[in-house]
Amino acid sequence: MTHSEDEAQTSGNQASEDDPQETAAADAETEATGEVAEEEELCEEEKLRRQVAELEDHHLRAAADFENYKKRTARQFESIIRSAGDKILIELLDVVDSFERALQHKNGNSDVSALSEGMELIYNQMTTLLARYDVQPIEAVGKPFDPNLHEALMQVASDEHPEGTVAVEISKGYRLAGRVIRHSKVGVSKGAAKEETAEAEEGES
Amino acid sequence: MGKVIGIDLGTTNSCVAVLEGQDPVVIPNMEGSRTTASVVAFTKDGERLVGAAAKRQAVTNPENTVFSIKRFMGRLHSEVSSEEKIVPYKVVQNEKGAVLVEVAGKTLPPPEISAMILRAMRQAAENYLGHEVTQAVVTVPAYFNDSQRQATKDAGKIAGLEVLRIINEPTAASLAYGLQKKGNQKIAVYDLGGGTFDVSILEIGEGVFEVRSTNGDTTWVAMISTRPSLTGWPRSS
Repeated sequence: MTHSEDEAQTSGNQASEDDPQETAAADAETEATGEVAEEEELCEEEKLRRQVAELEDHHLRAAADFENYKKRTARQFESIIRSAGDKILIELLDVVDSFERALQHKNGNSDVSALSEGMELIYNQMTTLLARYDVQPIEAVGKPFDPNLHEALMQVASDEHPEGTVAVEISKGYRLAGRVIRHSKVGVSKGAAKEETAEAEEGES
Repeated sequence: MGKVIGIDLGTTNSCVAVLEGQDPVVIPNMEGSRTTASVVAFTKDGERLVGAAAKRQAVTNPENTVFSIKRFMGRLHSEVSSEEKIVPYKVVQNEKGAVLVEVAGKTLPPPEISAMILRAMRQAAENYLGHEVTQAVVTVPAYFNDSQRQATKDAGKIAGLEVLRIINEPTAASLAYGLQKKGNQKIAVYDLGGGTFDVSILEIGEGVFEVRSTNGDTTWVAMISTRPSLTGWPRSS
């Protein structure tokens, strides 16, 4: 289906000026009719024939160029995708280093507070890295539910949050340079549970 | 010079592509996704959502979030009693017994809902190509009858698309693999989709496709997010 990478072959020039048969025929016709118009018609046909051959040739070359361009672009695209990850992956290696250092101490030390302090340090290292790449968390709880930012996993009764606002966040969403890359997974409030409201009213003392 | 787009209008997901030279290229939508959820939602604020955004709010708005509309395209109300049970939105009929969907205070024929999805696919294509798109080829299941095929064409028209051809899905799949060039043969096509599992036996002879037989499971539901139980519907009353 695809054209070869080599240049397209020029489609053959159909009529040769030196073709003796054609010249003879032309002469014979001129003699027979003695008409100059006939000769001009043949030249016109010859011109058109050549024009068609040229256009066909251009078309084949353009088609071949296009296929080559597509292949080249696809290769460049893959290369860009591969190297785009390099920068951030290298920075993640720093975080891996931190974890390795922390893990080296785990068997000797049963000091939980030191471990949790270490975890917090690494967590801050990660969030700083993300901020450097303009990755920002989406604040969801208490905000009106927005399907462009949040994915509703369930509806929950809530006294605290009015109907239609995010009551609970199951996992955080993130934006990259303002564009949502991961939607927050949330539970949306459906208002206060009706039975509880009735009980609250009855049981007031 | 307009390009013709090819649309797979699926039960749970739709896809649009265009030919660039010899090769088909799938067109990503506004969110960068190569498929668009076949879901249309009407929010309390009067907003209309199509695709992933409609899906993300489905749980909060089950009665006005329409998914799997393909099951109701070109059908009579009497034909869809089992399909009706698995969707939380209201399915009614007109005086001729044709299926209608009642959402957000409106009564809509299924092609109008499908048209909203097709419009989104058309928009994605126009954004990608940089020019207007007015012609499309749309695929349908091999078992779709005349009424269902006409409904699909109507949906295209409502979306501003001239549907040049309605092609059978398994045939399109076979063409994509160039099977029509490999001589006369019988082919089995297994299509495990998001909403249905379809098996078709095709026979190719002299480049002409004939559907010999179809079967499968039309209630095959691969997408758990479309199961009503998660939405808390039906409500006990």
